[in-house]
Amino acid sequence: MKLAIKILKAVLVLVLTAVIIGIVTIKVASSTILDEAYAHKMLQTSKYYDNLHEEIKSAFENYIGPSGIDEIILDDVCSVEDIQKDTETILGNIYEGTDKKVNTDEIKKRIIDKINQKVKEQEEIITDKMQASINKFAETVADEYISTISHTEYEEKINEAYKKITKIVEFSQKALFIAVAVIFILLVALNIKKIYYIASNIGIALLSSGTFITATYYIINSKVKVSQFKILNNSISLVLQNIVTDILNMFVNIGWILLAIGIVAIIVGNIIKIINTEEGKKKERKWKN
Amino acid sequence: MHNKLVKLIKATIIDLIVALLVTAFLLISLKIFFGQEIDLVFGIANTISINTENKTTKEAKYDANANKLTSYPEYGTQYATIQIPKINVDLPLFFGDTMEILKKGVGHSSGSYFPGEGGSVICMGHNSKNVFRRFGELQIGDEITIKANYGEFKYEIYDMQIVEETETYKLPIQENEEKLMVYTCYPFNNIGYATQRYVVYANLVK
Repeated sequence: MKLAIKILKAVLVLVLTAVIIGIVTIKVASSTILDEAYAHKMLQTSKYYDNLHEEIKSAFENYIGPSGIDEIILDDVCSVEDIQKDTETILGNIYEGTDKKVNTDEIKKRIIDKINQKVKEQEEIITDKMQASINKFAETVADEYISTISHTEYEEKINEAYKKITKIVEFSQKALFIAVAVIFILLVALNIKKIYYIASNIGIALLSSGTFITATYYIINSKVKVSQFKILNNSISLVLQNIVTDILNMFVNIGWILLAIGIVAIIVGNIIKIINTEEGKKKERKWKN
Repeated sequence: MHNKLVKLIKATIIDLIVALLVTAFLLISLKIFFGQEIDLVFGIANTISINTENKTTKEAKYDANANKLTSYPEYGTQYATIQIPKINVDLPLFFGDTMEILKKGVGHSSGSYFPGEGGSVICMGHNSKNVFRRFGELQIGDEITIKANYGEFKYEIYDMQIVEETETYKLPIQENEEKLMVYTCYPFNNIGYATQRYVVYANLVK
């Protein structure tokens, strides 16, 4: 019977460890990549809008060469504020489930007006064929802008993934907190005669989860070079690097805290155990005497 | 007191060992049950993790007896300069023809042969003022020189044509005779999207 109780306690501690790791993972995810405010903060700190503005200007330059147009025509057709506004539209589609489209009418109009102005300054007449060619050029450049801002081929997949993940997270959060409550009640029931044992049990669970999280951090860092991540373009790569580094640092900090609290709980639990054991022995000796 | 301290230390060490065993058990279980998924995630992470440090650029090496390159330059790198004295062109020539390359200079079609290999060599550049804006001034007999890191190749223009961008058959890839074809967008003063190309054809003379 005693053995069975010990085994049951061990299993509960194991499950509690897994539950604590699960809760930490969900809390970190909810306060980082699943949080719109966090996304905005990381974009700002990574200077995403300024970097992307430079990338868009560079992408526009690809169209200058074959177009016969002076480079200055595409200067200032889109500003950092335009990019920020459109990026916020895309983030709103992901995090708030809206379905707004990035509007490039203003960019197209600026390009067409600038080219027409330049042609008029050169005292040339804009024929219908030339205007059609100019309009087609403005549309191509606007499409390049949308493609660079939103990478439309991935937008739908990201939106769907976000909806699925938030559903899983909501369900898991409730399930894990119920699990913690049930495990705690069971541990109290199993340790009802010597309630101070529960401190050691919880301490072991906290220490194990802290060690697991910290070990995972070092394993990930040894296998992956986050600072060398490159996807889509340099601006997005930098944001991704910063987000992943931030999340990993958050994890390892929580891991160390759990580790420390676990050790303290174990020591405190054992101190109380020893004190109570000694007092129990003293009472026994008194009774015998 | 000493006994109590010893008991405390023993009990704590036992609990620490238990905690480490729990951690090891969880890590091993994760590896056993989710090992494939974990490897997949690490694989994806390493795919997007690109090391650009200590990158050495491959140089082109030429075997004059075989009329063949023994080592090709890395895609996207400059391997030569292209000179057209008539229109004051002296520009870097890159292996590849992406938009990024054409911003920096003249591109070399990766589907064509290299100078000195005895086949079709196809190069292209924008008709912007820094590249081929004066292409229309070229005439039959004008020279084009490609100075590669493995040799110098002189070509003489024998024909010019205006082709549609879809008429790729007018720039044939063949391996029997060394011909250089250089093209740019046409019309030269077009504003907007150009659908034609101005091609100059040149024979190897030296």
